[in-house]
Amino acid sequence: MAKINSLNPFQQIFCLFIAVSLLFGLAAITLGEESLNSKNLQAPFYEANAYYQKGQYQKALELYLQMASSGNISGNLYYNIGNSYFKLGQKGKAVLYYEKAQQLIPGDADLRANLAYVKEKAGEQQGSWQYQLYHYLAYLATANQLLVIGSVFFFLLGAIVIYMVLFPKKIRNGEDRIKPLWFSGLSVVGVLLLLTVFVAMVTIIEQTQPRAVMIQESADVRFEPNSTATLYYQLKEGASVDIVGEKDDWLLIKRPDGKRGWVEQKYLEKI
Amino acid sequence: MKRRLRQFIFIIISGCILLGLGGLPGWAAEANIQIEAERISVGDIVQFRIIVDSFSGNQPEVNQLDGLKIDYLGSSSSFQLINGQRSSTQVFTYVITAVKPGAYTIGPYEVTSGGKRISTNTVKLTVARGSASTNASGNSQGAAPNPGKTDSQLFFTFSIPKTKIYLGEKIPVKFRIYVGDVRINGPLRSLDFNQSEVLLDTPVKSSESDVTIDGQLYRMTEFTGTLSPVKTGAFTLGPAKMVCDVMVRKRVSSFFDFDDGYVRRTVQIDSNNSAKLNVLPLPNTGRPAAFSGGIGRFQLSASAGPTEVLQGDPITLKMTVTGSGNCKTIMPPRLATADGFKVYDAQRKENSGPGVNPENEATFEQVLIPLDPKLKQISPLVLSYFDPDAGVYREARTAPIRVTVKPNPNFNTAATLSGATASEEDEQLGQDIIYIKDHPGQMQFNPKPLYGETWFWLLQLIPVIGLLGAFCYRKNQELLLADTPESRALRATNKASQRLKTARELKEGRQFTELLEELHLTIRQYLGEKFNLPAAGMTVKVVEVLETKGIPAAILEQIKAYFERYDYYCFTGTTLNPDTAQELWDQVEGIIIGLENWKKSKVKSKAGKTLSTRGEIHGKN
Repeated sequence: MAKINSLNPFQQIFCLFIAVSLLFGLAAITLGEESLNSKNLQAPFYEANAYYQKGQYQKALELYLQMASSGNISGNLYYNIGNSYFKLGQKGKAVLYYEKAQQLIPGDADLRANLAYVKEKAGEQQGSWQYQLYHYLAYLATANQLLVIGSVFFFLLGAIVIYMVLFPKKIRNGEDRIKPLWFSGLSVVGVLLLLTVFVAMVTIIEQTQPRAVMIQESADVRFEPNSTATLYYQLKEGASVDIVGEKDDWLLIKRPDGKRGWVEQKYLEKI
Repeated sequence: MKRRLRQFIFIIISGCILLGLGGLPGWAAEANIQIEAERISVGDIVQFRIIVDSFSGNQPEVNQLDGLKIDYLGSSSSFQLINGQRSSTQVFTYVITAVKPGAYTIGPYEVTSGGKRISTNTVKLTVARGSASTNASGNSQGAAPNPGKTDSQLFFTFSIPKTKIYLGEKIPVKFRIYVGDVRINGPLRSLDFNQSEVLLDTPVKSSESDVTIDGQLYRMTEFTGTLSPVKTGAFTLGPAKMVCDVMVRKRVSSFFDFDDGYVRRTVQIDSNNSAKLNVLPLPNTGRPAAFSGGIGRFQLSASAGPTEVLQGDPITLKMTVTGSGNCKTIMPPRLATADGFKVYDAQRKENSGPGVNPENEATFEQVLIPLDPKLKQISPLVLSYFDPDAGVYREARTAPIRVTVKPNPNFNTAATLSGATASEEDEQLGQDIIYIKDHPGQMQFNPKPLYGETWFWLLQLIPVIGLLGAFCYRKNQELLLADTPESRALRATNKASQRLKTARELKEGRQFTELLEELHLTIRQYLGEKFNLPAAGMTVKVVEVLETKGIPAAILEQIKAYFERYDYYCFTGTTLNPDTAQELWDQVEGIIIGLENWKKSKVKSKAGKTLSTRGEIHGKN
């Protein structure tokens, strides 16, 4: 308190402004994640879980889907839908909902395990190590989480710089150099901010990239968008692909190993 | 010359031996019939020989048989001298053309050997129906093409069993090379179609026989290969191309020309025929999801060992796919159901050993780990393939294999023993997915990403604005601390304010002498710093200087009045009383306020002028 009082009025107002804006920012971000956790909304979820527990996967699935269609969604809901589809033998749909869940709860270990297992059963091709690294970064956290973290680092960096501008004598030692502690702090926060922004950008690019999952048993991928074109390879149920083009009822897709080809739209469902 | 002489001597000696020893009896008197093949088809040609030791007399009488056409090709003789004993052999060669199906007996024939009449043995010949593999007269039967051009001493044809085939299907192709008065030297250099639409396995020699075409005798060699189309559509197959070295008989110029009589040449010739081929894609209709890629007719067999195991112990499943088709590229069969087993990927095993043809057989091995002690059998194995003859997809299945799995109390421990490897294996095994979530987690209603929200990005401006503010503040501070006319002018107001405050305190404390000095110091320092004038020794004359700065006359009058009043009190020794002190204080304050207001109005009017000038410029534009 004594220290604050030692500042002149202008400095006191300025510090207050920084503190308030920081709090305001965090509060606003938290409010952005508006929760809808009332018991009424969640009731069908528990009901569906009970059906699942009894092995009535179809009934469980109907309730889960009904809930999702109302717009109230969560990563766990998508996860349970994926499980129900898998139990009903629809690997493609299971992968589709696991992929959707991954956008909401990317770090969930159970989800990662189930998705890997179903994809392995579907015989999906492993991509190159670069693709796997990119995929790992893209699903490290949600885009919103990364943006909040990045925002906090940005505010922190701003506060440090402002302090350095306002109190230049306090951050320098006698030789007129910045004190190592301040320099290290500034560097660490700066690097963390850059890393967070990079990962957030990867995540946003991945999430905005149109993707689809193969939901039929198998489909022919051809060199041209017509059924008489030369067959390139076969896509199996559960394979997830990037959509890189579209023509009439055909989609130009890219497999994790980079192989591109045309496939009829009816075989795929967009994530 | 020496060579010719040697040959001449050899002929003379041979002639002497023949003349001198010809009448002596031989060691054995024997006559045999040898036939090249015992089973042929109608239209096929087969050669047989009657070999007679110590032959004497006439050519054996060979009668025609109903259903066969027998032609005499000629005879040859040979002499041998072993350990002083001589022997001679006469060979009579005939060719049989099968006309009707049936079983025939060739022989016995009577010949004279060693001065005695003896009978030959008999041989059986079975003639079956169906297409001919060779044709002496050159007539096309079944799939065999007509040799056509027969004026050449070397030509060849090819034949395929059908012309409508599926992509990837393997069909046999037969090449028949007819060699007349030439001799092929060494193996063929190449025999192929050289077409991008098909792939041909290297043909191998399958049979050889003599045939007569248009009255000329040819040596016919048959090669068999496997053809596989790699493109769909209709196209012409052939002509095939053959490259080989041939020894061509040289024309003998004189009796004494003892050259070997042949010259070697490398020739490339095209087949006499070609064929129209229509290659169809595999139909999509009815294609099973687990299609193995096999095209042909396949049989599937499987065995497992050991069949009595402890829970968790491996069972090796051996699967063998046999049949005609692309065995080399076929994918392994799959288990109808693998419940209760941990299943490893099937591995293809190299087919080797006697009697194994890798073209017609594929062997796979797969390791299964029984996880459930209640397991009684390994489910049937299924192989989905395409039957090109029927044009449909088919399945080959095996019967289930009975196994006995005994409970293993250490099984679970064993499964978790080997750290990372074990966990990876569990993941590969993937018994089942992880159970559902008990709670719905953070529910969101149509969530929007933050990067799409404007307020989020506006929020990020706060640190930027703060930083700009800090910079401005810092700049202002630096300016105030600097000793320049501008900074002094900025500081002047605050200082004057402070001094007036001090003066008021002096006034209230009735310290009028100090008050007078303080007020004078205030006005001097204020004017000096504000207008960059020397504060020391400032008198009423300062008004003249200030007049040049454009200060309003009223303020100048106030300044002038103050200085005159100060001079009065200072030089006359008159002391201030509370009323005059207040008046003087008000006078100083009035001057400072007046000058401040004038400064402000000056700044405003400057700004107004700038704006109006800009307006005029814009108006003109």
